[in-house]
Formats: sequence, C-alpha cells, structure tokens
Amino acid sequence: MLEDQESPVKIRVNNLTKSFGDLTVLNDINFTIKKGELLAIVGPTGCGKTTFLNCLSKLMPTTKGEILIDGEVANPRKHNISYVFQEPTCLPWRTVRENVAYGMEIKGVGKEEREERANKIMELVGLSSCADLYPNQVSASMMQRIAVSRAFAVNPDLLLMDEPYGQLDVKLRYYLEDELVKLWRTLGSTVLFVTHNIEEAVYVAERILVLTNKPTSIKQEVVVDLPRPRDLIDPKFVEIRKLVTELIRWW
Amino acid sequence: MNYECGCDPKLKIHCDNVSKTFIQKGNQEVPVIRNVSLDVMENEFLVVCGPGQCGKSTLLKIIAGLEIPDTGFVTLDGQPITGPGPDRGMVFQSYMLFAWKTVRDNVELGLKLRNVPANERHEIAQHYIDMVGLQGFENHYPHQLSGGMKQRVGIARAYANAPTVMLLDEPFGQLDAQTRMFMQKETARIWEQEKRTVIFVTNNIDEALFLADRIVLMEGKLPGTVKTEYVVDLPRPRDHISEALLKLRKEITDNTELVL
Repeated sequence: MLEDQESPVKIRVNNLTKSFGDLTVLNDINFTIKKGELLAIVGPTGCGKTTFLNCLSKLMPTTKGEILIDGEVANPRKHNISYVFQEPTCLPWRTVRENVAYGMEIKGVGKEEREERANKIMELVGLSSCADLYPNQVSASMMQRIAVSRAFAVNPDLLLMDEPYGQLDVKLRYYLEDELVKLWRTLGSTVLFVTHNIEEAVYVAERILVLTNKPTSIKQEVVVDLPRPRDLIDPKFVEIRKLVTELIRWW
Repeated sequence: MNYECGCDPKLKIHCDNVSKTFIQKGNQEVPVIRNVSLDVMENEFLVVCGPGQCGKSTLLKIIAGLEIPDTGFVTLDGQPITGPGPDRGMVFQSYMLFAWKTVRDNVELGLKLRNVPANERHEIAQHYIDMVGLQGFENHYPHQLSGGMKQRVGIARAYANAPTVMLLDEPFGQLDAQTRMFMQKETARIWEQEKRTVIFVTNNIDEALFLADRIVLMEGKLPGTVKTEYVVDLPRPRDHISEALLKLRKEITDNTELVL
C-alpha cells in the first residue's frame, strides 16, 4: 500500500512478449506489483488485456520474458495464482460453501482450515446465509461473489481479475467494488484487476497501468493516491478519471 | 426537450394502466408489470431505466405488440396496439441477426417481406448502412463482425422499415464499457440526424443520462411500477464526466434499490 513504500516486490514481470504467428499482441512488458497492492490494468478495446491475463496466470505460454513471484519463476504447482473470469464460474453440483472451498481443496488445504477460511470469507462478503444453497438458487451477481470468494480463499500469491463486474447495474457494481476493496484490505492480497471501465479502475486501484493498442506495451502509470472510501464526484477523482480517459480514448 | 418546431409536442404513445402477469411452471403467477401509465411525445428520446428484473423489457415488448397486457392498453397515434407492426422498429440485446444473410440482406429483410421492389430496397438499405457507418461491409456475414458492428446492423435494419418509433431493449448490454460509450455517441448522432420517437431500455444509468430527454426510473422489484421520472435538460453532445451529469447520476443512483 502506498503509505508503506517499503512493501517488498511480490510480482516482477520482465520483457513479457506474446505473439500469435506474425501478430505481436504483447510487446516487451515490464512492471512490478508490490505485496498487498491492488493494481488495475486499463487499455483500449482489443488491446490484448485477456491475453495478458492468460500469460500471467500461466494458462498460456509466453513467447518471451518471465514472470517472477517472490523472485522465483511463477509455477502454478508451487504458487497460488487465482483467476476470476468475466463470466461467473461455479460448479453447479456444489453448494456455495463447497464452491468457496474448492480452490483450497485443490491446493491440499486441510479440512478444518478450509472450513475456517471459507466461513471467514463468507462472513466478510455476507454469503453465510446462503452457504448451503446451490448456484442455481442464487442470482448471477451472487455467483460472481462466490467466484471472488473462492479466489481470495486460497490466500493467493497473485489474484487476477478479468473485468468481473462488467455488465451489472451501477448500484450493484458499486456494492461489489466496495466488497472487493474490503476483502483485499482485510486479507492483504496482491491483486491485478483488468477492466474496460475507467471509473472502476480509479475507484478500486492503488495504481493503474494504461496500455497502448496492439502491439501492446505500457503507455503510462497513474498513481491513485486518494483516500478511501473514494467519492466518485470528488474533483480529484474526476481529474484522474479524465486523465486516464484521455490516455486511451478511441471512441 | 428537443422539439424541432415551436408547436406543442404531440402525444405519440400512451400506456394506460398496463399490467401483465406471467404464469411460470407449477402454475405460479409472477406479476411483472402493474398499473404502468406512461406518455411518450413525438420525437422524444425516452429511457426506461431500472436494475435487473424490474419489468422494463416486458413493458417494451408490450409497446412493441409482442406481448399483450392483461389489463390496460397502449395506443400509438391514438390507435390501440394489438400486435407488432412496421411502425415500430425493434432492436434486441442479442442482436437477432440472420446468420446466413449478409449485412445488406439483413437490413433489407423487412422491406422484402413487404414486397418493396429490389432497386428501391437496395437504395433504402444503403442509406441506413451508410448512416450506421458500415459502408464496405454490405457483403459481410454477422460472424465476421464485432459486437458493436452487429448491433449497428440491428439499428439499420430497424430504421429501414421507416418506423416512427424505435424500441431498443438493452441494445449495448453485451458490449464492453468503451465500445458501449462509442455506440452511445453513435446513437445520439443518428437520432439527431433522423429524429424518431425512441424508447430505450437499459440498466445503465450512465447510458440513460447520455442519451435521454427524459428518464423513467422503475422500482427495483417485481411487479414493475414507475418509481419516478427525471428530465435531463443537458446540452448535447453530452460528456459522461461533466459535473452536471455526475450530480444527476448520484441523485438517480441514490434513488435506486440495490438488488443483490
């Protein structure tokens, strides 16, 4: 977090490059994320944000470059890398509680600790009352909250979020963004949050990396040093929103 | 409001105490709209806004004539609506394009069904394809287009039938935030260029504020009722980040229920 400039670097990305044949999507990207930081990534539509996440999560091999977690090459077998997708992804045959605990199960967390952590997180996000329901019994926004809870529950070294609150109505989006900030601050996770929505980036992030068009590189870093909870009509907030908008405007 | 002449605005659409209940499986009754009365003036841009599941799409379908209300009625130019018609052009969230037809054939479809001669059809279709900025893509198929482009085809197709009313049901709901802003700008431009009475349904308050002369805010629960109205008296083209717009947005957001 910002007041603590001494936070160690958790994630270091060196020379990340990804090409599909002749098409270079990611072009020599370098950045770091500090431990416990919430970093947002924004860029023009079609700039390769999802490819970027797929490389960082190691779901997709990179053409060049490396991703280091605590100074070691990122390895999904060793490190905990969580990924929240745009579309809610719950296992329909598991209850809410079992869905939240699923990542921990895969990672071999013991039963007692699993339950304890799942309960704590469901408590934090107010899911306790529907812990024993199945996904088809809850709303779409609830499903996304389950996915977010599951991602936080594994105590991830790196939590990747791909525009999780895309098309929800604003009121709901504000609520979920506040919930995300609460989870992140309480658990001290290191989060990389990708979005098309500039206001959302300014609202949640400590720092924003603005990407260019393809071949994608980092255009500019914008630090959001505003107190929380943030006020969407505070002139300082609006000023940062305008700055980021101008950096990527294509519409 | 944006009326071109100084004369009194003319009543275009009148919803009178409209209610609609659907029967779900197990004979369960779900009241979706209750006692909604609404007037829309000619060439007004009206946005119906509300969170998910508030009956707003059903209201639009009733005006389109795709659903028949259980009680109450809707008139268009004083005549009761009994079914769909070419006087109302509809644009759907899921685009609803014919996958095996080209852009041109999709846009021409309504004209073809009404036996408009081929050369006239082409001319009209080309006019609207140009208007939505798809010139050069006439012979493309839907799968070759991006989401934003597909919805432009949807808009051109609706315009091609020369409707006096345009009904848009969350048309940009599947687009990302930036493409969405671009399409909002395009929608405002097209509407300035070819004025129609527009009823536009969305859950997005920013979108509503960018486009509307007037916003009808629905209650955030079923059965759907009108909660309140806002006249958006801001000059066009509007700016999403302007102080006036952000202030009004806060007012509307504060007046909207959180539906989890």
